Amino acid sequence: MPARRIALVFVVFLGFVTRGHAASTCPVPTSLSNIAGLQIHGFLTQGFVKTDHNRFFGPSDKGSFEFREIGLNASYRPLPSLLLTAQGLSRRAGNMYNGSPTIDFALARWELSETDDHQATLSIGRHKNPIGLYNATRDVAHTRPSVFVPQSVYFDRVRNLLLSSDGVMLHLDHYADFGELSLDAGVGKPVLDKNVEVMLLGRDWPGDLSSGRPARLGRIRFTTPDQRWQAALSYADTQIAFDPAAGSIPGPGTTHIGYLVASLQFNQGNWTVTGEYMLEPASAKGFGAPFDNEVTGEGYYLQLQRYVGPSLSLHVRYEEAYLDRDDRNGRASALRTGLPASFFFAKSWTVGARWDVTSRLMLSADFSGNDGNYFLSSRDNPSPAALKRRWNMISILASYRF
Amino acid sequence: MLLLLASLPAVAEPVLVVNPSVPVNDLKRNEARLIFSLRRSQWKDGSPIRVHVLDDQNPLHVRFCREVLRLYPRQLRRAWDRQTFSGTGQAPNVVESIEAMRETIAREPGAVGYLPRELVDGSVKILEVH
Repeated sequence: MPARRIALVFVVFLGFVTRGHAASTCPVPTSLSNIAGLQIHGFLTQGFVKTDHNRFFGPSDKGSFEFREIGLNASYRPLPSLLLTAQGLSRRAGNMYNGSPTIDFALARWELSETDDHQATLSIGRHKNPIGLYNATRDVAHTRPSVFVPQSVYFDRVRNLLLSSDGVMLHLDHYADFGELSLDAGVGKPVLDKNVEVMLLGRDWPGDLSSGRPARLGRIRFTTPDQRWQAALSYADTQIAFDPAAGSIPGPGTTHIGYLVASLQFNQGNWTVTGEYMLEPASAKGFGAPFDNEVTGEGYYLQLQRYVGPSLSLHVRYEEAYLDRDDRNGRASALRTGLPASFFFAKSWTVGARWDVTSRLMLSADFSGNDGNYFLSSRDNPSPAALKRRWNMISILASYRF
Repeated sequence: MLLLLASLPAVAEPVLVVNPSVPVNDLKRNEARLIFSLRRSQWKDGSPIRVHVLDDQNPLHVRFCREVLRLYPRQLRRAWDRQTFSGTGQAPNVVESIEAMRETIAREPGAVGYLPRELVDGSVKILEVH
């Protein structure tokens, strides 16, 4: 199995580069840090998921280890104003991702200008889209607020729609005594996959998806100097065309998807409070019934995090998400598609803990109680009629990063 | 763990230090925060800024973050992780001891870090943060 092989190679590599450093605290292997401006970093995450009903990231009703994330990146600064960086990612997530390695990002960043109060940077290549607080590092367990990113705003079943794009991006930062104002703006081609087709058209039909025109995205963010407050507004839109082949029921249609996320985070002493709200206007035309529709998806969460000592934190989160905010109980969508109404909404409580065992090794565990199936992928749950509306999940992960 | 922390000797007052080549004599707190968040890549004369820190849980690092930068160590760590793993920046170099910190800062042009005030000698320059 390629995923297993990659994991093994990575573990051997990890063992090699950290030999003699395991007990110390240097994040970069000393032999590599001798090359000025070069850094190598990576992460290895293994999860375990158990559900009482339904499947999340593999056969979780029996207990699933099919959640694994391996990343390795290099960055090099040949000049103070130029950064070259790339990351490879292998991700195993149930039937959605089989662990085949992908280029997560690969880009060049030029600093156009830097003064006391501003900085302007232009980057070209494959970018992680700067959407909300977590999208750009959603696969890095150490940066997530819980075992998984909040599914209400960062759906894993359609992650690739908004994960990254091949194009150009402009970053502007303005520094003032009251805080920092940042703007990111870019255009690029989204990096699509089969999960996007399954989400849009219900299954993998004969034919190809392509991005109709470049995706546009922008984020404006404000952070106070002490990082006590952080607020951001992100927007992305993309157009995806489907070119059917023989045997496809959906016709040659186009989907427009907008994605708006408002984010607010407050840090004070041992508390962090985070809330994000997402609106997703989507229209599908030209596919024919029952695929054509026009809905506005909605999702939001509120999370409280409490730090108990320097290495332990506890969190609690409530979230809701709807395929169509005008049809929150899912009945109209159920009539249109013939799928159960619970397919179109999700309400979920999560409580969990995180323990930073060392500055490199982290353990995290969550329990979540769910009403609705909107977070579940039909690739892991091929029979919608078999879904249970109410289900519970325990998830545990261990992550090592350097 | 608590016992271990309680038994540590009192940590000396940390001061921000740079290589004597650095063309700056003091810093505003917000500038120091940007430098240690690795958001700044060069000093005023265009020479590269090279940031060195101790381990996240080192008492001198914790005290430097809390008293000089007035941030929590976890805030810096999150900023470094986000930059490193999203392709928008790099992480600081982590040195293994206070002695290694002083040697590196003294040797490397553009280097910036921190030391206990009583261990500062003529090989490095203190920048007062205000």
